[in-house]
Amino acid sequence: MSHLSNRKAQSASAQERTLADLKPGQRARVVGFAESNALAQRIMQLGLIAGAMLTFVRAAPAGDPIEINVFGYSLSLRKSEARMILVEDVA
Amino acid sequence: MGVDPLSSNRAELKRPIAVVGNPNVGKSTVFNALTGLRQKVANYPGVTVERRLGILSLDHGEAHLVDLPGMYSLSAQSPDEMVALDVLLGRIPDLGTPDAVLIVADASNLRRNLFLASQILELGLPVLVALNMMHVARSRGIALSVKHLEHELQCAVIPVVASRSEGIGALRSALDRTLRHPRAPRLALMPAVKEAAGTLADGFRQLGRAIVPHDIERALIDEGGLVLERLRAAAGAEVAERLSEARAVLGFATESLAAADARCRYEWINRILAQAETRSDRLRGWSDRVDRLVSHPLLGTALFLGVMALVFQAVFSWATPMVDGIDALTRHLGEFVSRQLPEGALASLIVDGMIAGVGSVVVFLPQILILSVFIILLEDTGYMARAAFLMDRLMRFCGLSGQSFIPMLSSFACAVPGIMATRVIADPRDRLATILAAPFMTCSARLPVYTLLISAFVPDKSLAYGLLSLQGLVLLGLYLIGILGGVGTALLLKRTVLRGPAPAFLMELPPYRWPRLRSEAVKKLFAGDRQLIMNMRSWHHE
Repeated sequence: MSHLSNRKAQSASAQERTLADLKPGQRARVVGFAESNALAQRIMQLGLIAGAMLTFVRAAPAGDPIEINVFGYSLSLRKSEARMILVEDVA
Repeated sequence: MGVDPLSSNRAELKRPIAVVGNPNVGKSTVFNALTGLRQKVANYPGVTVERRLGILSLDHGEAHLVDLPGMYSLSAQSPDEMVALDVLLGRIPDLGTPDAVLIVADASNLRRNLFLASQILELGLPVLVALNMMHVARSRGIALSVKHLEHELQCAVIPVVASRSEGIGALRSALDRTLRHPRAPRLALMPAVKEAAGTLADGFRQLGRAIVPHDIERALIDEGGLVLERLRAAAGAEVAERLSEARAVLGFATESLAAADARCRYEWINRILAQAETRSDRLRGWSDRVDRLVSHPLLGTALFLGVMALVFQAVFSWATPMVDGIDALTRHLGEFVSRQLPEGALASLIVDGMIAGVGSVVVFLPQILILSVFIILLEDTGYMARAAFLMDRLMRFCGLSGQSFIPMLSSFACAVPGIMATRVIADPRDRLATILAAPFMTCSARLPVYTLLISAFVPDKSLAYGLLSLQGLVLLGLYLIGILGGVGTALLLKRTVLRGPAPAFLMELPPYRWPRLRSEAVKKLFAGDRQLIMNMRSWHHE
């Protein structure tokens, strides 16, 4: 799993931010994944690959799950899942 | 539907055209537009995955269509996806390898839809693409070059609006052409993996194990997938070991094979769409505005409770005049007939047996119809997914996810479709817990019993200046008791025998759509009701 530690080391140097840290209306770019498993694969197949742009739309009233927009469609996921997705802010 | 050609063995053996696509792309609408009422619904052997077959009339004869479960990828992670993969690879004995694959794609969201298409195009089967919901794409300022797509995808691409039957004729002739001159696209986006899979398959064959190269490809890429799991179970640890060795050789320096696969496919898609798609930046329009209101923390929750309250009040109050009408009708008919006939066995058979018997079943119909219409409306408008989004946190208290909300809610109409709807729940433990909890929900066949007991024991009093009735409140209470029973069961199961890590909650929130009582909605309604009437009839006999 060397590729994972690489990614982690890269993002750790630039203050690791995940999808769960975003606020409504914020845009971000996917940098990588904190884990490599079937769920990460499914998320990537839905279009959230490294380099993809996303918008944090809103959180449910209880603060969880969250809704994001990826190239024009809405996807909902839990905060625990959002924490797997490493992102960087986009101005 | 007792359609003769479908039930004969000769017809069953005919190789089908498989219809595939992402969820929420109008796949069933395309399927219905092509086949009309000539359909037969059953289950695949051994799994509760719906198998829908239909007959399509073409210029040179008839073709069989099989509607596969909606899916995002061939990397099977659920029983539905595994069945779809088995159909495509010709592993369902009485279906055979499909003659062609019809991909239904959402024209307004082509990027994600092309991911599954990229995997299908590699199967070596003749392919067609129906670009559905062209009107939505147009209204969002998306223009597509069909010619360019046809060139890149190496297959026919037909723009359609299935809900308005636009382009269905063109789709029909394209299917006809494809069946007469079948030609499979040649595509390999991960050539190294394909090559390694071929080599491994040869190696396994020498060991006396016949494994399809496509399965090896899937097992290499989908490390946590069902194909690998099945291979490991069937072929043993030795094969699994060989696979992980091959994976290490193929491995990219900085990413997993799964990540490389997703990246390569999206790079291919982006390259195509850069040429074939132009977007003038327009908002999602009214769907977005509706969404902002519906998902508002306060207004949205209030609306949700309002919708649920409306459903309960409607089922209880709106149905009453119809119920009374049916009741009066059967009584009058009975009296009329008994006046015409001499007293005796025949009169008793007709009046007490037939008229009263049929009447006591038909009298439940209004309530069942009203509830079924509400559930179909919620599904068609896209509100069901928002309900799951809103309810996820709450459902987690009983150890389930928002995905369980839809089957649970459907169980209020009838536990049977509710339990069938649990196939959308990816996690097997969650699915089982939901199946066991769902029958606690008060189904509409139980409703007449409640109604009977309430009208016998609870006074007909108005509360809050006539806005609420005491009888309605008691009914609500009975429903709540059922819900508590279900929640308790789920909680108990998830804490004991079904304990495990929390499952994924990845869900698309489809755009809001105007509901239409389309043919399939009506069909769904009557299919469900027929079942309910059968249930009630047997219940009545007990």
